[in-house]
This record gives sequence, structure tokens and C-alpha cells, in this order.
Amino acid sequence: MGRAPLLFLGGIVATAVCAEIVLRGLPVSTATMTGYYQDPDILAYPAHHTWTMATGWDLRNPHTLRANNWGFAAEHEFTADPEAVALIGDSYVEASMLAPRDRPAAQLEALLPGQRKVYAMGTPGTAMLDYAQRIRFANERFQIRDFVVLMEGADARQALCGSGNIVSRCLDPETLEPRTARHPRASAWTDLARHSALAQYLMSQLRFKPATVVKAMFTRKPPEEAGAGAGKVAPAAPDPEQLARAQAMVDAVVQQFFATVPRAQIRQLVFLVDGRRTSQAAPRTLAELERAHLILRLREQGATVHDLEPLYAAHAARSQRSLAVGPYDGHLNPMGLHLAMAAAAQSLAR
Amino acid sequence: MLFTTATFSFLYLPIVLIGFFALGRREPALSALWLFAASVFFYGYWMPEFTLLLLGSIGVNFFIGQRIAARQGPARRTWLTVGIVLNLATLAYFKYANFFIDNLEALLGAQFSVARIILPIGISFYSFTQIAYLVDTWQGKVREARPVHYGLFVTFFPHLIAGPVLHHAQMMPQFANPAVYRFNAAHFTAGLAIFCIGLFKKIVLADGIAPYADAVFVPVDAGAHPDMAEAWIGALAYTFQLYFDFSGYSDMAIGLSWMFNIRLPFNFDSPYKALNISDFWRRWHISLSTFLRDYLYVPLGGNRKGRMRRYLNLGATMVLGGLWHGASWSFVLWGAMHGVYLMVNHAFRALTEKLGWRAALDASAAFRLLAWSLTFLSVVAAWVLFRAETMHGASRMLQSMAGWVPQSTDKGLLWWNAGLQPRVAMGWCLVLGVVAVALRNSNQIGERLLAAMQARPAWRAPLAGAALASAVALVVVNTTRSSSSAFIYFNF
Repeated sequence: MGRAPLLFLGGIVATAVCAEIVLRGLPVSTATMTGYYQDPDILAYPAHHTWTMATGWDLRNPHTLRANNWGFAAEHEFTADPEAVALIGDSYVEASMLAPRDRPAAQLEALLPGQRKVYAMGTPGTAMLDYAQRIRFANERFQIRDFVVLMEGADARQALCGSGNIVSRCLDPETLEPRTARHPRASAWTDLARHSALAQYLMSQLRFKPATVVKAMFTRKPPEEAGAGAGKVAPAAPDPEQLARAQAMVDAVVQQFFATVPRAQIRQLVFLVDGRRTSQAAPRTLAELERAHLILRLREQGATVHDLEPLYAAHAARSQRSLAVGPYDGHLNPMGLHLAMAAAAQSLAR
Repeated sequence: MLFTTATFSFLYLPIVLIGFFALGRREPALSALWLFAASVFFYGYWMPEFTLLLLGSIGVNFFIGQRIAARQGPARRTWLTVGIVLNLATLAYFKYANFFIDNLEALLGAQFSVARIILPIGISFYSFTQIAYLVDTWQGKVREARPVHYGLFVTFFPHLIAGPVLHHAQMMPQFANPAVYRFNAAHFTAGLAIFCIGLFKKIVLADGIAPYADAVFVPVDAGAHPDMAEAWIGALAYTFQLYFDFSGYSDMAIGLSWMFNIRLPFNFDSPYKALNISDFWRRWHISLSTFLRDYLYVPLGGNRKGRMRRYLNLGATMVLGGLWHGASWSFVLWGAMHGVYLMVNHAFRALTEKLGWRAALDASAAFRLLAWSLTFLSVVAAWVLFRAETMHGASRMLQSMAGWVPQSTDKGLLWWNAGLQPRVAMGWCLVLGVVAVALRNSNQIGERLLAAMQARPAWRAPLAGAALASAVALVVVNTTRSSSSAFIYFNF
């Protein structure tokens, strides 16, 4: 190889090294190192692992999180405590984009009377059947009897295998039979990339996929179309067959959920179901009808269910303040979480 | 096509560069034809329906230019008038017809069932470029016989969509030079590096601060009233967004041109370092300011017909300059505001010179700081009119900036709803302010790089590698992130 190509490559390498140094000085998300450390059905962090989370290419809402002794992003170390409350859910519960005091477990704990501890057991990218595993786990290991599940309306559908929101138990999307789909072990490349801020930026912040860039190269996007969102098209009214299939799926997920949780050991099981935050008058979509059916079935099983939509509507009537983290992140912000946690605290106080 | 897209950077640009230099080794005329065709494709890729309009405009102007050059006596003026009227009429139809009808409807209280007219991208730039060509031809400064070179002068893709506004005399000698069609490693490397600086300004700096400006201006246009901090931070955020967006585009255009051995004039010269408003206009969008001076202010009489007439000419030039940016009263008012600034500035200078204070004031650091602050704040206040889409929105912004905030205003509401933190916005503004005011500008960096690449051939390969890696990384960021935007000046 001649001198010029080597120097050219040297320029590329030097740029990569500079990018690595700069990104190490910025709050780029670092490796979470998740694994099945405590239980084959519970995805958690290594005990006392510390990592950084930020949103998007411009690193919004950066926070450093620390796992407790059982590998959950929680303020407390977990010990057996029958008076504690376990707060179960996905990224809504972990709320890594919020300051620690604004996260749901901290808010719920502040709202509960006495000195009751709230164990935050949120795992991003999980759904209902994974929640059931965590309820089982919390009861077995910590003798917890009171549970609050903060969930999205789509959490039943996300419990289908292949949804991308499964870490262990799921239902086959065709047969609705129970299956297990654990995350594979990280490859050697992933292990290596975990130590590079540049690789983390590409994978975690940008979610870079070469196919996306190749597709963009061959996609014509005139300016007037560039900002047009596909979501602006009014959804068609769901047909009865689709709705029946969705309801059957919800029934199967709910049945499997209650078959997993130790019902006899549970004192209180409170569900908080997120929903539409604005324009309650608009026609209901299939996903929203599915959500309504989920609430119905959970109530039929004897659980306390708070449909958060009426709380959101009451808030909207008195305030212009949004309940979402931002237009770029639909998770509940501290104000939205306060509404939800106040409802949970009320139920737990009974 | 946007310079920041994968289509442009990874597909279009490499193909055009390879074709240009491959053909240039054999036949420069073919290479020029290739670049002309590629530039027309660049335009048509986005707006195929207006490509014929562009080509028609080029054909008609070239023909009129030939007639002006060939004729003697009053016929030359007649052809010039025909050419200018045709260009202005086309511009008026596409750019101002909607505005005219809207105002007529408002005035008469009527509702005309007239379809909205779509603005062809770049029409303001290529119309002005060609008016300048006709005037220069009439004045005997230029004479162009090669249609391909003329077509290339108008359509050359780096400047076609958002300028700079070019003079025929700046480009034609370059297109006629056979060396332009031969690959030049020094020009290519320095050009790629400047292109990267432009990409960084646009993708990281302008698009990074943009949400903080939008978070304020969008709800305010919809009826919200910002608190004082929101209004100031929103206005400052837009001040920096616009500068880094447009100067980033200009850097990319200059860098791309260098890669083709073509030099475009610099369009910015650290405008936020200006110590007075005249200085600002010598540094901001230089090619447009020069055009307005040479083809509007001077023909109106400039400063040759007395002080009052000079002020009137300044005001008229700035109002028309505002209207050039867009068909709305807020642009007219923005132009008028700058016209008033210029009048005050000229009057103040005349007064201090008369009193014999000029030299002392210029030597005073405190006065320079005061002058800079006043200039910058005046520019920021005027950008509010430039950015706001409604006059009511602009009015609410300016009221809040002046401290008049209604009691019922929910303080911090706009940041909250946008999910943004004011301290982060202030951090962005501080960093961008330092970059804009305290650092060297990209013109200086570019010239130094070019000199270095010419003097030290060994540096070319590593710089090319570094610039290429940076460009790829920036385009990947822009392609994969959820939000990306076109250049602000594409709207004009």
C-alpha cells in the first residue's frame, strides 16, 4: 500500500478517535449490561451497576442510574419486607429520563402514609407476562403482597412473542399458546462495542442500521413531504372480526397473567392503565377498544384498575400543561406520574 | 435534494464528481454540459414540475441577453426592460400572487375561489441572478455566447436553491478555464473540509438549537403568551439557528464548489461581530446585500441626492429586501425595521462626525461594547418578525421581551410542553454565541486550509480521510435521527 492511502486511513482513524474522546465527555448512554442474573425469567442489571441514559441524537434528559443489590434501577436496596409495595412495569416505571425524585416509585412512596417502601421493579421493553414473572419473583424473594402495575394500553398485545417487548414469557401470536423467548447472549462484537462511546452513540442514541441509510439513499423525499407524519391520517373504524381477534388475544394474555401470579399471596393488585391524553371525543381506534377490553377483563379478575383517561381529562380541563415528557417522548412526565401515583396511593390506603 | 441527505452525499455527489473529472480530462465542454445536466437533475429531483420553468427562464434570459449585447441604441434598453419585467412578473406571480389575493380578500371582505400557487424552490435566487446578468450585459460588463456556460452559471447546483446570488463576471471566467475541469487534490480536500464545517453547522448546531426556538414560536403563533425568559431564549435560539443554518448552507455550497475547482463568493463574515447595523449588512447574506445595493439602492440615487433622499432610498431598499424574503407583512415590517436602524445609524454617524467625536468613540472599548450590544439586540428583536408566522405572534413575543407579560401567563408552560429545559437552552445559546462571536469564521478557516493544502501536499490525504469520515458520520446522524429539517432559506 502506498503512503497516501495509509495517510488517508490514518485521517479516518484519527477522526474516529477524536469522536470517541468527545463522546466520552458527553452523557452518551452507556451499556446497561442486562442479563438473567437473579432468575431465568427476570431481565435485570448487574447488582450495583452504574450507567447513563439519554434520549435521542442530542442527548436530552441525561441521567446516571444505579442498580440496587438485586439489579433493579431503584432507590432502595431490596430486602424482605411484607409491608413494601412493588411497583411493576416497563420504562414508564424505570423513568430513566426523569430526575430520581420525579420517578414514579419516589412519588408513590412520598404519597403513601407511614414509612412504607416502594420497590421500583421496572424493566424497559417488557409487557404483561413479564410483569407477572416479576410479581411472582417479588413475592417469593421479598414477601411483598401489595403490587401496583403501571401499564400502557398496548401491554397485552406487546405480550405476544416477537413484539420486541418480551424478555421471557409470551404468547404465540398465532396459537396464543405460552412460549418463552429470552434475549440471546450478547455477541463478542456487542461486548466490545459496549466499551466504546462512539459505538454506543451509534447503537443507542441513533439506533443506526445500515439498511436505514441505504433505504434513505434511494428514497425521494421532497420538502413538503418530509415533515408529513403518517399518523395524521384518521384511522379507519375497526372491523368486528379484527376486534374479536384482539379481544381473544387480551383474554388469553389476562388468563396467562393470572395463572402466573401467586394470587393467594397477593393482598392488593392495582393496575394503572395509561391512555389517551387529549381529545377524548375522537373516535376510538382498535388499540383503544382493545385497551377497554383489557380493563374490563382485569376488573373481572378482581383487580383494582384505574383507567387514567378520566384523570387526564380532568387535568386537561384545568391546565394547559402536557402530561408527556415531550413531543419526542410519550412517557408520562412528573405531573402525569403524580396523577397516576396519587390514584395508586388512594387504593393502597384502603 | 438536500446537501445533508444520504442521497446527495453518498450517491449524487460522487457520481457527479466522477463524471465531471472523467469528462474534463477529455473535453472540458462535455464536462460543463455534464455539470449543467446534473444541476438540472438536482433541481428536478425535488420539483420536477418546475424544471421546465427553470429551463424556460434560462432560455428566455439568455436570448434577451444576446439581444441586448447585439443591439445598439434604445433597443438595448427596451430588451433590458422586457427582461427585467419578465423576471419580476414571474417572481410576482409565483411568490406574491397568494399574498396579493389574501390582502385583497381582507380589504374587500370577499372570498375568491382561487387555487393557491406553489412557490418553486430557488425562484428568488435564480431570478435575481439573471436580472443581474441582464443589467451587467446592458452596461457592457459581460457578453456570453455559450448557452451551456450560461445555463451552468444559473443552475450550478451548489448555489441554485439558496444562493449566494452570483454575478456573471464571477463565474464565467472560471467556466472558461480548462484547469477547472481537471481534478485538483488541494481544492478537493479543502472543499471537502469546508463542506464538513457546513454540515456540522447545519446538522449539529442549527438543528440542535432549532427545537428551543420552535418550542416558543410555534405556540406563540397559535395564541400562547410566553413569559419574559421564554421570549428572550426563543428569540436568541432563533437568532443562532438562522445564522448557523444559512451560513452552514453557504459553507456547504462554497466547499462543494471548491471540490469542482469553482470559487463562490463568501456569503457571511461573522455578522454577529458587527459593531453597527451597516457593518451587520456588510457581513450578513453578503451576496444579497450587494445585489440590493448595486441594482436597487444605487439606481434609486443612493447617497448622491441629499441626506433625506438617501434615507428614503435606504428605507425603500430594505423594505423591498424584506419583501424578497417572503410575501407577508411581517417580512415587510422586518425590512422596514432594518431600514429605520440604518437611517438611525447613518444619522448618528453624521452627528458624531459633525461634533468631532468619531475618532474618540471608535477608540473607546466601552463604546465598542455598547455598540456591539445594541446592534446585536436590535438584530435579535428584528428576527422575531422574521420568524413569527403571524403578526399577533410577533407582537406577543416582542411584548414579552419588553417585560409586558399578562398576569394570567403560566410561566414556563412552553418549555414544559416541549419537554425542554431552559437551562439547556441557555447553555446552547451561550455555546453558539461564543462560536459566532469569538471564534474564527469558516471563510478564514477555509482560506488557511486551502493555502495549507497547496503548500503541503502530504497533508492532503489525512485531511481528506478525516473530512470524509466526518461527512459520512454527520450525514448518518442526519439520516437516522427522527428529526431533520430543510434549510430555512429554501423557503425564500
